[in-house]
Amino acid sequence: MSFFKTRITELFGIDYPIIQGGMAAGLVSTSELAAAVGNAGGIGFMCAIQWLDDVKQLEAEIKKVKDLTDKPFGINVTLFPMIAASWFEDVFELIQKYKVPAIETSARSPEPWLKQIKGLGIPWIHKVARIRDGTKAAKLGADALTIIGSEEGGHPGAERNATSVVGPLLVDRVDVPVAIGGGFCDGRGLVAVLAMGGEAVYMGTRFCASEECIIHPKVKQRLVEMEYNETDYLLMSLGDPVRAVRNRRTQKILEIEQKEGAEGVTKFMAETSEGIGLGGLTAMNTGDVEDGILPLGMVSGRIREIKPVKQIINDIVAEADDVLQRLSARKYWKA
Amino acid sequence: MIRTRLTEMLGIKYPIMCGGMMRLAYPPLCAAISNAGGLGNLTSAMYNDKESLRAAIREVRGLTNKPFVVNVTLLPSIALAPEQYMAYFDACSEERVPAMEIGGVPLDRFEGGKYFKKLKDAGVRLFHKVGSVKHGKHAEEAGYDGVIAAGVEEGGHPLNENVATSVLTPRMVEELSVPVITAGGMANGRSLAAALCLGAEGILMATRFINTHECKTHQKVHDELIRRNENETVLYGNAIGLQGRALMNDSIRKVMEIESTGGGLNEILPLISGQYGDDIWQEGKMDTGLVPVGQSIGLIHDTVSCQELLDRMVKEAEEVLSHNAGRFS
Repeated sequence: MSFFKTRITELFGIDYPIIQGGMAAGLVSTSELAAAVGNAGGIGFMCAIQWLDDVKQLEAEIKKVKDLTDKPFGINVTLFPMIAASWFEDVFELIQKYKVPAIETSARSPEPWLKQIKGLGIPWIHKVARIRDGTKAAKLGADALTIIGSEEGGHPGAERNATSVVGPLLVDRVDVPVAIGGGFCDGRGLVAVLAMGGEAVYMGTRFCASEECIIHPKVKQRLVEMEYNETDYLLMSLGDPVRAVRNRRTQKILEIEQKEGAEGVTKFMAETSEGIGLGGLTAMNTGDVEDGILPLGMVSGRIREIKPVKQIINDIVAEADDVLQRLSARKYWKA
Repeated sequence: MIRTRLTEMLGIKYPIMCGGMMRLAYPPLCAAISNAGGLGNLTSAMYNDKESLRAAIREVRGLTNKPFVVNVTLLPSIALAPEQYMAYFDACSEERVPAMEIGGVPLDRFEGGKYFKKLKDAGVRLFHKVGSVKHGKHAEEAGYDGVIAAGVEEGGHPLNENVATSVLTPRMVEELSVPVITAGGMANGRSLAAALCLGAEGILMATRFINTHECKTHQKVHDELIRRNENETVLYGNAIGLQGRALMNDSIRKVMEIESTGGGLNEILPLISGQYGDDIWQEGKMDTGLVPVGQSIGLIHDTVSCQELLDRMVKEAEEVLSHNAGRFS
């Protein structure tokens, strides 16, 4: 079955409106995953920040993904302000040198790097959690936007807005195409996104439970066994909250946060973190599911099986078609 | 025309239900929604006894011959005496209302299930509003006719598991065989279409119905809900064991302050007890007391009649779904 086009499939030159977002908590969104997603008809982004300590490894990873696929892939550039400008310049240079097909930016306003990003001349999607960040990025010239709701894993934004509201709202506010994420893992999610007016479904957690994702098998096991109500929402007091699988460590962090506030929790994190996942391995790779941070979304509770990426995407497309055909038959609206 | 198990079960045109709303869901609004093809809501807690609720039910019936739903929220912390709830259930079973929306304690666990049976015997369709799959399963096993899956984005009292509609609805659909109705974040035709895609057979909206001509509130209320954005509601009340979502205003700001400094129920209660209800809804004093609306305020841009709202929602949903289905080839 061929699939329909959206402005996002056209922008990236892909078959299906399915995006694997950049994920960085140790090594998660690597060449294996991006290539598999590309080969299956979607587009996958590798987070450059995973190789913050050594940009040469990013170069090696780009070469590797090109060996594994001739389909489009992308690099995510997480615009954290505490990272040295020279690192960003190196990353942009690599993207140019290797003709990386697409770029995703996230975490902060792209304004300081606008010239470099636009200068790449490649499709650019910017990811936001707040409507006002989305309208701003559209004004700055992003080709597409991703909006995520607070149900997503990782950094879902401090406003705690749900996908059901911010998805359709951003679609109304901007002219550029919008990908929607936070809470989705299957064909129902894809068609719900399309119903909201989105032009691609954006997923992270679903792809963590793939054979190609290099995270530790114990983490994948925890993911497919857990319920939807087993995540915690941490570090609200620091202004950039994290959603992660509930375990000893998240409970401890919440306890300290409640008792000692921002100061106490900052101190605790500094004393006990191995770098919050920037440029180093974390529990996602070591499999320390009780004492590390596993930034997965609520949708973990709907994911029961570790599958090859190709099968994940084929199943999504088949289910999406099935759900819509049943709904549009008009006789009986039950999908 | 959209047919789902919900529309068939109740004999309604559109799979859109109004949620319970204190000081708002009176007979005229209830009947207007039902006349427009949806399922209007009559909220029982606004009435003091059996006879006044009975009179309100009859008032609705005088205004419409279409089905409607009566809301009863069994929350121990609201501190209504059990006798008052019994009076509501007696009125509803004696009047054989078409449907009830129960929130809080499941009805099978109230007074040994006596009223659950009484209402079922009277042919009343029972829906339980829940925020977790566990509670949904309980409702199905108890014999409820449908489950309302309320995501954390809803106004009022979302369960403190804080699970959003995008996950809760499809997860509920996977586990239950009774119809699932999505609540939380629903405001327009695309919301309806998305909920149906996630497997729901209808949606429940409350906040969106405030901005209709038939909802008798001060003009300032309508203006304020249009003006305010999706990020201007907050979750409060965890310190006192009953989470709520309300519009950020002076009163809620004070509640948050009290909560953050470890204050208790006695300090918070005067700010949220509902004593300011008429100030808010009838006088438009939006900075006074609790305005329990959901994140869907971000999607509210106008005040229209119930008929226009429901007609355009369903038209939009049908267009979106058939358009998207046509894009597969």
